[in-house]
Amino acid sequence: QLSLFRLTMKRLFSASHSSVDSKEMKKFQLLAQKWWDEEGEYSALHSMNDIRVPFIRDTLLNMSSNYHLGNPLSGVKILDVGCGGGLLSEPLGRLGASVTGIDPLEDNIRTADQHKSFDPVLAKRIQYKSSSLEEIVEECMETFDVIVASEVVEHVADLEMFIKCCSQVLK
Amino acid sequence: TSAAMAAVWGRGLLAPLSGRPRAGPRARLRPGLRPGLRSVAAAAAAPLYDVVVSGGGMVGSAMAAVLGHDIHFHDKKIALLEAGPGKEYDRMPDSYSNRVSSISPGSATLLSSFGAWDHVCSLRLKPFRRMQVWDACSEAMIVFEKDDLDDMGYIVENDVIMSALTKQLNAVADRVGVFYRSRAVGYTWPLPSHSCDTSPWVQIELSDGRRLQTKLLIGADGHNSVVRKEAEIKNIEHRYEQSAVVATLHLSEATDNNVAWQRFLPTGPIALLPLSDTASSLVWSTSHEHASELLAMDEESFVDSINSAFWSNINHSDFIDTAGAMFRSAISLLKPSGTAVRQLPPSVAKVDPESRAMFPLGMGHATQYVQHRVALIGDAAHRVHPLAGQGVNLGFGDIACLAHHLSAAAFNGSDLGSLKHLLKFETERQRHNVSLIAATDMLKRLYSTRLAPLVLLRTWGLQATNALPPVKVRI
Repeated sequence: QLSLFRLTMKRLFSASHSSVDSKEMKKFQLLAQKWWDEEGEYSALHSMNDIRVPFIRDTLLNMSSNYHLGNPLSGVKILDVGCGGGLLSEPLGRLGASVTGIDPLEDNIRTADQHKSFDPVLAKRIQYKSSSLEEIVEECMETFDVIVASEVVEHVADLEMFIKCCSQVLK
Repeated sequence: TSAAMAAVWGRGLLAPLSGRPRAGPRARLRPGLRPGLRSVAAAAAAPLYDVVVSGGGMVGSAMAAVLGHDIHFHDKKIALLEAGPGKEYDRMPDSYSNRVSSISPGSATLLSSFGAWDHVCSLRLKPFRRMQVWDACSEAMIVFEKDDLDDMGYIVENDVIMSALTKQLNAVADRVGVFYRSRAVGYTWPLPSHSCDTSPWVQIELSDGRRLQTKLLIGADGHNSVVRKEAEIKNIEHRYEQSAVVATLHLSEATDNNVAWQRFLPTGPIALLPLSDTASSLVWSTSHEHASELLAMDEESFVDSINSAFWSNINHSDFIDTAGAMFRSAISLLKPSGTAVRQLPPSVAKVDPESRAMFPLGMGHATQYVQHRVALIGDAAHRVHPLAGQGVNLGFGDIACLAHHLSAAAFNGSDLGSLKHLLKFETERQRHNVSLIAATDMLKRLYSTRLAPLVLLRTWGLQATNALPPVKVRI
C-alpha cells in the first residue's frame, strides 16, 4: 500500500543522478536560522501547518481502526523527507508519531535538533539526520509506515529516483 | 543522586533542592561529585508542564479541570498553583456562606461538561425563575422571566462551587497536579524566536524557591493579577467609590423564593438573591462610609435598613411619578400586555450573626488578554460591578472559549503557547466582554443620580424596555 503524499507536483528535468539540487541547497543555506521565526521568511510554512497537519492526521486516522484521541499517531513511523528546521516533524511528533526527519543541509538539521532539544517528549520521538534520501535507503529498507515530502518535490533534482527511493523505504 | 532529585510528580510534593544527598548504608560521597551536584540538579530539576494555571479560585480551578478532562489533553501535564489551602466538603455546614454567585445557564452547561454540576446539585443551590429590577426614584421596573418554565439562573455559594471543582480535579489527578500553599513570586518570559541557549519556556518561581517551566501560562490570579503585571500588560482600571456589603438573611416567612430582586438606590443597587425558602443573600453596593455604618450597626437596625431600602418610596418625586404614570398609560394603550404590576420583595426578619462583610468595588479591563505563551482569564482579564451578576459567568465564558482553542491546537500538534490560537481566543472574548463591561459601567453611572432629567430618561427607558420583548430577550 503506497502512502505517499505529494502536496505539490512540479517536474524538474536534470541530468544529475542525485535528488539533491546544489542551487537549491545554496538558497536554503542562507535561511538556515530563520525556520522558527513564525513571522519571518518561513511564516507561510508555519501557516500551512494549520492545513497539512490535520490533513495528514485525518488521513491516517481514517486508515486505522485503533487509536486514542489523546495520542492519535502513536505507533506510526513517519519519514519526513526534506524536513528543514523540523516545522512539520514537531507537530507530528506531538501527535504521537515516531518521526525521522532527513535534510541534505547540515545547518537545517542543526537548527531542528536544537529546537526539539528543550522538549523531552519531542527529543525522544524525533530523530534528525543530515542526509539525502538515497543515502538512507540502504539502512532503512521497508522501515516506515508513512513518508511525507511536503513542499519538497519542487526543490528535488531527479524526481523519478526520489520516488523510487521513497517506495523502497516504505513498508 | 541527581536522578533521585528530579521533580516528584504529585500534590505539593516537589522536593526542595538540596545539595546534600542523604546518607545511607550504600551511599558514599565521592569527592568529585559534590560541587557539581547542585548545578546539575538545578538545571535538571525544574519540571516542564504543558499548561500551568496560576490561581486556584473558581475560574482557575475550573480551567485546570476542563483541560484535565479534555480527551486531547490525555497525555499532557497540567499544574494548578494556589496560594491558599485546599477546600473540599462532603456536606455543607448548616449555615450559608455569605459569598455567593449567580450562575447563568451557560455556566451551568460548562460545569456539567466535566461532571462538576452534579456535585453542585448534590450539595446545594437555588434556581430562580424571575428577576425584578426597579428604581428607587420612580415606579419604573423591568421583569425578566423565561416563557418556557426553565430556570433563569442559579444562586450558588462559592464554597459549593469550589468543592465541586476540587472533586473533579481529584478525578484527573494523574494529569493535573494541584499545588496548594504555592504562591508564584516571579516569572521569566522567553524570547519569541528563541536563540540557541535560552529556554523557550516560561519559568515560574514559587515563594519557597521551587521552580517550574511551562509551555503555556494561564493567569487566573484575580483582579490584582501578578501574571498580568509581570507580563507588563496595560490594565484600564477604575475604582468605584463603593463597597459591597454581603450578608446572609432570614426572611419573615417561608415563600417560594424563586425571584431575584434588585433595586437601584441613588447610593447604589441593593440585591436580594434567594438561597432557600427561608434565606436569601444580600449584596448591597453603597458608599464606603455607608457600608462601614451598615457593618457597625446592631442587627435590628441592619435589618430595618434593608427592609426600608426595598420598600420605602422616599426618593420618589411627584414630577417623576406623574411623568412615569403618563408614559405607562401611553404604553398600555399601544401594547396592553406591556406593563406589569410591581411586586414587593419578601421582608427580612434576621441577619446571620458573623455573616456581614464588605469589600471594595472597581472595574478593570486588560488591554491584551494574551501574549506569547501567556493567557489571562477571569478577573485577571476583566473586573465588573456586581450589579449585573456577571462576574464569574464572564470567567466561565473565557474558559469555554480558551479550552475550545487549546483542545483544537492539541489535536493539531501545535505548540500550545503559540500566539496563533491565543489571539483567536482574545478576539472572541474581547468582543463579547467589552460591550458587557461597558454597559454595566454605564448602568452603574446612570443609576447613581437623583437628577430629574436622568431619572426620567432611565424611567422611560426601563419602562419601554420592559414593554418590548425583543429587546428584553437580547439582554
